[in-house]
Amino acid sequence: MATLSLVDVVKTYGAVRALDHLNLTIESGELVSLLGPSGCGKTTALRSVAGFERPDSGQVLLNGKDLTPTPANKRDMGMVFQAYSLFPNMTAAQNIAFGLKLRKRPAQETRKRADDLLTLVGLQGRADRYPHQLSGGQQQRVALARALAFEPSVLLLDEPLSALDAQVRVQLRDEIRRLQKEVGITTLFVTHDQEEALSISDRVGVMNNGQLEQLASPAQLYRHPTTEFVAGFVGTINRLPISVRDATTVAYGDVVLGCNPSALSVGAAGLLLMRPEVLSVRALEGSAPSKTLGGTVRAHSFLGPVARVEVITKGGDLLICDLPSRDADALVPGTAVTVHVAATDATVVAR
Amino acid sequence: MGQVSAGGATRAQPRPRPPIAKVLWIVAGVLFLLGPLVATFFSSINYNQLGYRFTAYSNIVSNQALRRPLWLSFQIAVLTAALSFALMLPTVFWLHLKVPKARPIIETISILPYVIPPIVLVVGISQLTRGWPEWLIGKPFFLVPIYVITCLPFLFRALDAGMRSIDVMTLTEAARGLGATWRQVIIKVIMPNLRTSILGGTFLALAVVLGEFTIASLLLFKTFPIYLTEVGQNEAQGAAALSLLSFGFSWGFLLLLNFVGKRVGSGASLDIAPRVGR
Repeated sequence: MATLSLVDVVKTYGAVRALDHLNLTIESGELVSLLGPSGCGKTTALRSVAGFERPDSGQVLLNGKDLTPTPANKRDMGMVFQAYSLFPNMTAAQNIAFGLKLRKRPAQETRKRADDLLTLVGLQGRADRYPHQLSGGQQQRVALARALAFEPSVLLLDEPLSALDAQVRVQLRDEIRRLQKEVGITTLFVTHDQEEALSISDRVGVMNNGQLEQLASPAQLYRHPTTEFVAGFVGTINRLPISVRDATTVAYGDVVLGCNPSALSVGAAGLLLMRPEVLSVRALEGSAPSKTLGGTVRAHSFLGPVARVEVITKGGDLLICDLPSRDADALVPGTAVTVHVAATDATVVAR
Repeated sequence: MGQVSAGGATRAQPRPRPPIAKVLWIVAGVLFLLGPLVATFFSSINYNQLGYRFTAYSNIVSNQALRRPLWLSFQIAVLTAALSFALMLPTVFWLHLKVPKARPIIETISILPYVIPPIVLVVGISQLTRGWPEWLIGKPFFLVPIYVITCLPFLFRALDAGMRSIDVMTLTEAARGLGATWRQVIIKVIMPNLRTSILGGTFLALAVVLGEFTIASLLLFKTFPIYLTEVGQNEAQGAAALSLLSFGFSWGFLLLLNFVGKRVGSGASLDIAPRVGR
């Protein structure tokens, strides 16, 4: 069991600052995903942990011990790469045994371990296959088994699913989570796929410009993003420009809305963030009453179980609302509507 | 109707090339490659008025004077290939891993030994080594470092092409992450995946060394090609037989390397593997 920490890590490439004072702690047995767009620094963070990049400053700590000067081959970390990385000259079993052979484990133990791991990843009977005789998904399974074979302290996953087709990706991501829980290994998972990150992680960190914007549980991250970037990157979000009235209410024009407590000072300008599915919409007979959040339906799209209704507010802002499709039948374009949101479902962030 | 179905079907099918054409191409290729060898063989056994006989070959077997230059050239060739790979493999590996942008520069530099005439090379080396001890520059093995330079263009290209065909970066990082030292990365991961390149490079190095005349002649060392020329001046059949012999020698050595390389490359050192999972 191991706790992994990055402390104030900075890494620059020329004028580009890939990691900007990054701080992150992964508790023992926890799976933390780093999520973000290309170039946000998530892979650099993982490679710094693996020892493939040397930070300009800061520390990588494993159980409190500074690993920063330790070379990659002495870090005791298993890694699965984005590209297929099995050694082409070795069979599946030989690939898995590679790390154990380097550690001079007894042949009997190595053989049993490789056998057990092949079973664990569902590839029993394929021990003697060479990488070119395995599918992409099977190759990544073997790579995962190889990374776990020597019982490392930390498992590093660098977008291991991105080269696979959609069906295999979903299947393998669930297997990764199952194995990670079964082995109880501290894991850092890097991905640009939010669904992947949200579905298998204990906590997700969203990165932007080399910094960690927010680190939280998937539900917390989705429901209560703390920055506009996080809100925009993870799922669809509605943004209304507001000014803060007090800790739990904001003003959107002449409309007063309740919200989660915010840290913004009274009178500060901010954005009220709401997910499409937390909004409820009701059709009006006449025009919308003043001091109520309302507007006019601009578009209505039937998506099966839900319907997506676009409402233009009186202030001219767009609200996207996902409603049960039966409830949305009457909300045709041009309909005057009121929009309701519970205070607990609305989050205020700085603009 | 008949016109549509029959004609349409015929037109839709791509016309297969008759197998006879393929066979002819293969035969032409084999003749082109084997022709000179067959001609050399006939030259080596053709004694005009005396007819065909294997005298040249029996002379080679019984001739004590041949063994020394042949054995010397073979030693020089093996040492050249070994030293070349010891220098070039880590260099090209590092180039691909750490400074891939410098590859075109190194590629250009690697051509220099090929474009500089051997006489210029020898004069340069003579100037450089003037005053060096006799035990160093007076021995035929002094040719080894010179031949290493001569083989550079071939070896660089062979290794470079091999490394470009594999993902050097990912394989290296995977091996390092699993605990391999740099030496283990090269020996256990990179080299087995460059088997074809290494064999090709070795063959070229052997061919260069076993056929090199100018440098050895100018530096007054009696290697196999020098002996071959001397024999050729007196007896054409003997020279032809020796040429064939040196060719067979190179191929035999290459086959041996291939056999050894296969055993190492297939993970024979990881002796547990074939039994795992059965």
